[in-house]
Formats: sequence, structure tokens, C-alpha cells
Amino acid sequence: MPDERVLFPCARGTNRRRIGSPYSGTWQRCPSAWADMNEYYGEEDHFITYRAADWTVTEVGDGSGTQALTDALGGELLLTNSALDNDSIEIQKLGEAYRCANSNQLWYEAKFQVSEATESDFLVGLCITDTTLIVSNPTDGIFFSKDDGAVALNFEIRKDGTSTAVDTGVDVSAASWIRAGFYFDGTRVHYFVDGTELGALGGANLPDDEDLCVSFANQNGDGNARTMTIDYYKVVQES
Amino acid sequence: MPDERILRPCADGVNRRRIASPYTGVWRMAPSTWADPNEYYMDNDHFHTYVAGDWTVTETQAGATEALTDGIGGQLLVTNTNADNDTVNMQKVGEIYQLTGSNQLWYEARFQANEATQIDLIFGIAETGTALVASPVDDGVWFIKDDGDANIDFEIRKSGTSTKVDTGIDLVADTWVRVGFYFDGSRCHYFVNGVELGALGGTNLPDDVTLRSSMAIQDGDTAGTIGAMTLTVDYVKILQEI
Repeated sequence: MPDERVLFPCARGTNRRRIGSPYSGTWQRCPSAWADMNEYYGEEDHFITYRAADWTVTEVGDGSGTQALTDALGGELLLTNSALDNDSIEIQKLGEAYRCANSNQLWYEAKFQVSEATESDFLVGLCITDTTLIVSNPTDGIFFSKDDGAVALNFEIRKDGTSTAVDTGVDVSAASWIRAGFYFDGTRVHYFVDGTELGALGGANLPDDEDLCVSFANQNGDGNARTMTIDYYKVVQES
Repeated sequence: MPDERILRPCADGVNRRRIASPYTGVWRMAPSTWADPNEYYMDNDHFHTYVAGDWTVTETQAGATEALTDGIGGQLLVTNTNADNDTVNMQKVGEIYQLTGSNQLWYEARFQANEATQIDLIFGIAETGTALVASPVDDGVWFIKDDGDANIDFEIRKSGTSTKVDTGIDLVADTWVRVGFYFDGSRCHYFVNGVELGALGGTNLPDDVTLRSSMAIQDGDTAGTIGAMTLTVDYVKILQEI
């Protein structure tokens, strides 16, 4: 049986009882379990169910775009755009529940795929509430994105409308799963693709004074209806 | 402190870090907790809430109901009407489980019914179907109690052909029963009230289709003298390795 009596130091020096994680990758330092809800909170959604009312959905198009569960192992949410260039679907979970501040660690990972690698834009991560996540990036957020006309997967931290962005070095392939994750260690945000740490960003553009919500956006790059399929996302934050 | 540094072999030969379960019964080999969402997924429903939109519900009669009822732990009460063969068929939205790739799966449901003999019941995972009792779907793994006896049977079914056994346990009216199975990568070990009673596998293991959490109740009282039949569900938990 696990011995939870051992206290583990957390980022801001507060000891918390938890079952520590031995994982590598995004979840390297994340607790597997905890009893006191005043120490961590989070959500893990495998899209076994989908309730539209839990999300703010913004559609650009003729109204034929859809967001619906699709039959697949583990449960998946399928976002299907309408068919004109620059039609899009953006969904944000209700409630800006996360903030990278006060040295409170945060872990995030999403597993998703898109139907088109080049002729599409997407954004996946944590953002301030915004209905034009792709057209005019949110003022504050931490996210992975891909631009129309390119396949490079970028990682970006953004505060008050100013960004630090990097090319992760990973290219997006159509209809191929990507696990995009980051870990906020209290100061910097380490970013991971498919479980491999590729770098870390911090400094002036770390959005440490705004609350952020789970955000997904997908936009056509031409006159074809593009899709984004989300297998899961998980966020854990230290209280 | 648990030693999660130890990699535990899983059925498909891929080692996963996890805090292993010390349980006996269905959950003997199940992880208690894990950090990485890419290793397991789970639906653990104690019916603290019930959202009708999460289920595909098929009723053959007007007047049937599915609603939360006061009970320790939260319970879902399914109430049939009084005519023979009246049915309530419930499947969770989404075919999201599959017994393949040697990915382990654990299932358990706890329920009771107000009648032991003149009733049909099904609990398990099945492909989409709206008449699980009257016209069993081609693929699934489930416990079934037939009209006219109290036997709890366990069945695996692939492409319309079944292997079915009597677990040896009888349903008792108004008495909780826990039915569960554990897919170890090749066979389904079945349990009633936490006791392993056997295992089925082989050609009738439904390994090529995705399946849904499913349950059904059907009235078997031809005379209609017993009255409306009820099924009370305490929980359904399904855990699958990715």
C-alpha cells in the first residue's frame, strides 16, 4: 500500500501529502493522487461524455459546423467546421480556472489530431476567454498552435498581447495523434510533444496575472471542411 | 510512499508505471491511480447525478422512468410498466471499449431488482442495440438473467455466436448483487459479489468491435400480476488500458 505519510516539497516550499508520480514527460512531477482538495485541483476529460453547456462554443461559418462525440476507443470529441476558407470552431471550457502564478505548479496535456496538416490553423492550450483565438490571438495564454500554410507545431506564451513563441521542431501530420503538453514549474513553462521535453519558456511574457481556461480552436485554411478530433485533455494545478 | 518506479507489466507487454491495486476480486489487477491520461481511461458512475443525454434510452412502453432515487451512494431507479415484455434498454453514449490489443479492461456493476424470476436483465458492454434482451446484439460481454429462472449467466458473444455459462449464482429479489469481469488480454474472468467463478475466451471473444456500457430490464410476467418491475443501479465502473 502506498505510504502517503511522507510530505513532499512543492514549488513554493509548502509540503503536501501526495502520492508522487514517477513519470517522465509532462507528468514527471505530477501527483498521481491526493486526498486534500485544497492542495490540487484539475480535470481529466476523455470525452466519454460531452455536454455542450460546459463549453463556450464559437462557430464561424454557415452554421453547419458540429461538435459531437464520435465512436472510438476511449471516447473522442469531433469538431467539424463548415466548408469555407477561414470557417472555424473554437471551444473554451466554462470558467477561467487556471493561472500560472504564485509558484503553483501546473500540468497540461491534450491528445488530438487534425484532418489536414497544411491548409488549416489550430490552437490548443490554456487561454483567457476570447472568441477569436486564431484570427487575433488571445491577449493571454499558453498554447500550441499551427499556422495556415505551414506544418510546424509552435509553442507560445503570451501576456498582455505580447508573445514569446518557438517552433517546437515537430511537424504536424494529417490524421496523426499528437500529445502536446506543458509543465509550469513555478517560473518557467516546459513544453513537451509526444512526451518528450523540447524546451522551456518564461520571463516577461509568462501570463501570470490572468486566469485561463481550457481552449481548442480549428480553422480551415482553404475551402474544405477541416476537422479536429480530441481524445483527451488533462489539467492539474497546485492550489 | 508507493514505489511507482517499479514498472509493472501490462497485458500487452508494455510496462506502465502505476500504483497497483491490492484488491482481490475484479479489481485485483487494476491500478488504483495514475497520472498519465494516455495510459488508462475510466467511467466510474455512482449515480450521484444522472444526465439523460449521456444515455441512449429505449423504452417499449409509455410510463417507464429512469431517475435518481435517494439511497446511500446515489442510485438510479429504472421503473418498468406492468405489461409482459415491457423493456427499458440503456446504453451509455459512445462505443469506447474494445477487448483487443491485449489491453486490459475491468467492469463491475452493482444493482438489485424487485423480482428474481419473472424478469430479464442484462449488464455489461455491448455494441449498439435497442433491444438487448429481445434481439441480442452481435457482439458484447455481459451478465444476463433470463425470464423464468433466477440464474445469473455470463456470456461472451462475437458476430452473433455466443459462449454462455451459468455462474451458479441466483438473483434474489431486492438484494444487491455485484457482477464484474476482468479482461486479461485474452480471456474474460467473471465474478459475482467479488468471487471469481470462471473465465471465458476463444473464438467468441468480441475483439473486433467497439462496445458501449449497457444495461436492460424487461418484464417477464405474462399475467401482469406482479406489477411494475424495477431495477436499482448503485454503480457502474469500467476501466480500460490504452
